[in-house]
Amino acid sequence: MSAEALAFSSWRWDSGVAIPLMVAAWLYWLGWRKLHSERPRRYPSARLISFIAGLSLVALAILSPFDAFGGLLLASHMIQHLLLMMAAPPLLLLGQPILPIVRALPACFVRTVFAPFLHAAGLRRWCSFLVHPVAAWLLYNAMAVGWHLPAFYDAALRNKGLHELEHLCFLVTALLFWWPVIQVWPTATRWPKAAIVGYLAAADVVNTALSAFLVFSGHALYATYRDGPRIWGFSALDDQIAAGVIMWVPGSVAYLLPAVVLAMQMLSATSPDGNASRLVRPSEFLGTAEKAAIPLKIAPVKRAKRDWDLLRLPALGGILRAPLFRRGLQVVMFALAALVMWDGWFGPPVAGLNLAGILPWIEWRGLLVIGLLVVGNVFCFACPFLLTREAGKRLFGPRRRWPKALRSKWFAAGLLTAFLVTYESFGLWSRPAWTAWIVAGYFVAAFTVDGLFEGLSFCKYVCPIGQFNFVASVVSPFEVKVKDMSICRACRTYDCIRGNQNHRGCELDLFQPLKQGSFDCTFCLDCVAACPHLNVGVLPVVPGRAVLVEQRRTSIGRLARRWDWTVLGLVFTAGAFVNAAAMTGPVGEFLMKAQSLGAMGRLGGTVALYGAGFGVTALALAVCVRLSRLGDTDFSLCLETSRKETAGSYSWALAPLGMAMWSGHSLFHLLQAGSVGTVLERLAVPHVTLSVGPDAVFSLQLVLLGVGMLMSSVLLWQKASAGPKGQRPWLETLRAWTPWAAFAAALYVAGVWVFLQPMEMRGAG
Amino acid sequence: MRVLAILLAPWLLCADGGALLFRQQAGDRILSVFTAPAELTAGPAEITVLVQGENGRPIIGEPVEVALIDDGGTVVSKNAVWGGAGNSALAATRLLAPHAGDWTLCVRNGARLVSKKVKVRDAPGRFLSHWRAWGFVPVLLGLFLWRQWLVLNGKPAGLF
Repeated sequence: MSAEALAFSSWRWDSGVAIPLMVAAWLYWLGWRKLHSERPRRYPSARLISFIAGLSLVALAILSPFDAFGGLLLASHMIQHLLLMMAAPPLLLLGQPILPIVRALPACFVRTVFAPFLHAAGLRRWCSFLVHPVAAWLLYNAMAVGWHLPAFYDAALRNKGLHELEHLCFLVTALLFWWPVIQVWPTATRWPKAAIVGYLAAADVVNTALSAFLVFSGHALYATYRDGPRIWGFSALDDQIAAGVIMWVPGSVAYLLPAVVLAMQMLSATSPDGNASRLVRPSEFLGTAEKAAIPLKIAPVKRAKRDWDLLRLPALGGILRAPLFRRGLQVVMFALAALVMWDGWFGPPVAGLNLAGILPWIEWRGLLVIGLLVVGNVFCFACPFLLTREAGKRLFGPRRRWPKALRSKWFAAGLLTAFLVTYESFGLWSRPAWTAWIVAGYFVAAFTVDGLFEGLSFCKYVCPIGQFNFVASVVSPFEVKVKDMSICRACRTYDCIRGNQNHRGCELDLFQPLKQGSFDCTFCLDCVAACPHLNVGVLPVVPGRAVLVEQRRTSIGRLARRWDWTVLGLVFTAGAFVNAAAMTGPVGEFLMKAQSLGAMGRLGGTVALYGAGFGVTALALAVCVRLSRLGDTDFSLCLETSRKETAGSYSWALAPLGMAMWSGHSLFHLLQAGSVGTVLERLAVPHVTLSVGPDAVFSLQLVLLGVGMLMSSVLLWQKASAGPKGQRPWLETLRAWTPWAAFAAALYVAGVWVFLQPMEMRGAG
Repeated sequence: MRVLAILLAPWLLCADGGALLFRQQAGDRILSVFTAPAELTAGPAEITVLVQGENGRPIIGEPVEVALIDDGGTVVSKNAVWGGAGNSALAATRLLAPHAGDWTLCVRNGARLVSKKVKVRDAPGRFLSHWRAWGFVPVLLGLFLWRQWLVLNGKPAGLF
């Protein structure tokens, strides 16, 4: 293949760039469509074409061979910079993008997120300053000259992150530079057109000087190109001269063409604006909908009735509701569990070649968190252990209730902790036979417990996987929920909990009107089938919102007062960090040393590790409670029970961070192990091997952890702002929030540190 | 499945060279070796190799193997893949340096071999190069706090 052909084939995909560009295009199109139908002259098709062309040029600059060859050819790199500074920004701004994008966003989102900023006088002053011609011109040219200095230019070529920052600087400052030229709404026209012509001409002088320096300097300025390989046969100096010419000629055209257009407008008698500086009135642009979307008062959105229901979607909804579908999934999962047991007992003893080493510890864990993040508690929906549990129920017809002393989460939290410690101490991921015994034990336990006790005692009080899912589904975007509360108020039959002749009610004693979040909910959909008013569905919810509810919940009471639930939540959150840390080099070395003392030494080391992790968490919790209430003056808040409540209430806000850690950890194994191929080989299924690179996984882990950190921080703020406040509510909330936010930040840093360490590929080899 | 994986993996195919580590002639070939990050750190690193003939024209498709060898004799090696980088002229692979220290980076192209001593540093530098994956946290958190301040303290002013 020739070098030219190689160049044309060097396109790349970067979802960090491509997805935001696609989202921007989609939002613009949505808003433009509405505006175009209302005011076709103000928003003609040309605006849409211009904006999409601008986005396409950004994509061309960053994803095309211009970028791929930018490290080898200065001329290619220069074209990339021209696209980002002189071609894409004016096209983007000619699309007048602010209003279409605001129109595309949901009104409640604009009202709650954007409106406070739009009303902030300080921010508006600052934005006005940034798009002032003098500031914009200085910033733009400072960036253009500064980044072309050899030291910065070479540094950017050597460091990927710095290179991306350079492109971002170019694009942002270019948008500011072109802003006064295009006169983008909602800013006022500051300078007359004659002055803007001078503005562009002055920028061209800088561009000419810079390009002339590149052309006439007489030696290669940039070490990267001087010392690097030359693939097209011409020297580094020739390359630099070519780059200078590209900067000079097309660059000058980019400045002078709009200057000529402005001059012609000035001279034209039919020009609508003339030279006068004039404030652009919003009434020219804003319709009723925009005015409603940017109101002065920031009021919460009240929604009495929820309409969108996953179970009412065409085709998919019917399938999800069908009892046979659920039973079918359980049978499939049962068959997979049977395969795991068979291979664990009779297959190869090497974990990486055995289904019992791969399926539960790599694939299942990864898919479990994906299910929780995308939908909700889908594993419990398809749980294979329910088949044996049903068999136990039919065989014994239990009448006894689960012992009163055990009707809490203490036992389950203990089992979850024991499971985590056992996993680490005995290296379950590397012992297929042990794994098979655990799966078998699970079936026996479900059969026995639910054979002896009525209701779903096993799921509610015993199953560690279930407890994990109940806590993790705090961040899930869907929930089994009542659609219209007024129907429930009028209901006197309570079929959702009591059941009826055709359908059983909730076996976990969850009364739908009082249900908040997916705590204890197995997504069995019995309540959906039992409700005669079709008033229960799987509805979208704001992830994390369930932990903010302070009132009494069905089957739980007040969450903040349930210390057993609080401990379960903390085991989940702290366990996520300790479990992942155990796989890293430094902690692994500690455990290896412990193992050298014998099997019990490893157990002791693991217990010490988890003890330290949970101990530090408990200590931090106590400190946070103390610090966050330092300024409290209300004497009643100093009572012991109240401190517990504070801890219980705030600690749930850390659950998203815990879930982020579990997700990052589980997806690392799922994406890095390449074990899908092994599983498919063992099942004799034709396949393509798939493994994702470590950098991609690390980025994904950081994004997940970051989202978890943000969610936790916002929830902690909501908790801190819930109490009564005095004269300075923001400061008082900040004071209560800061210790908890510091704790969340410490967990975030710990998570980043763990993900930075080379990790053991458990179960994959 | 592949399309889905590529869509979901943000930086799967991002290797486009990185920084030039060294350039050496071996027989009738000139091998240029690029690394990202520029300074190797413990953990994964992207290594890309440009193979050129004596006339400087890039040559693709020939087998290229990349290896890291430490002073204690630990060897981490992989075959570089053509088309694995954004730049089609480069053969790319990812190597996992298990620890920091002094290593030798060797590149074999058929019977030709080039090598260079490199220093592998500790991991934190890797974090900085992924600023896009974490930079949004302080920015959005700052905006959130600012919004709360505006809501709780700000006096609503007319928008226009």
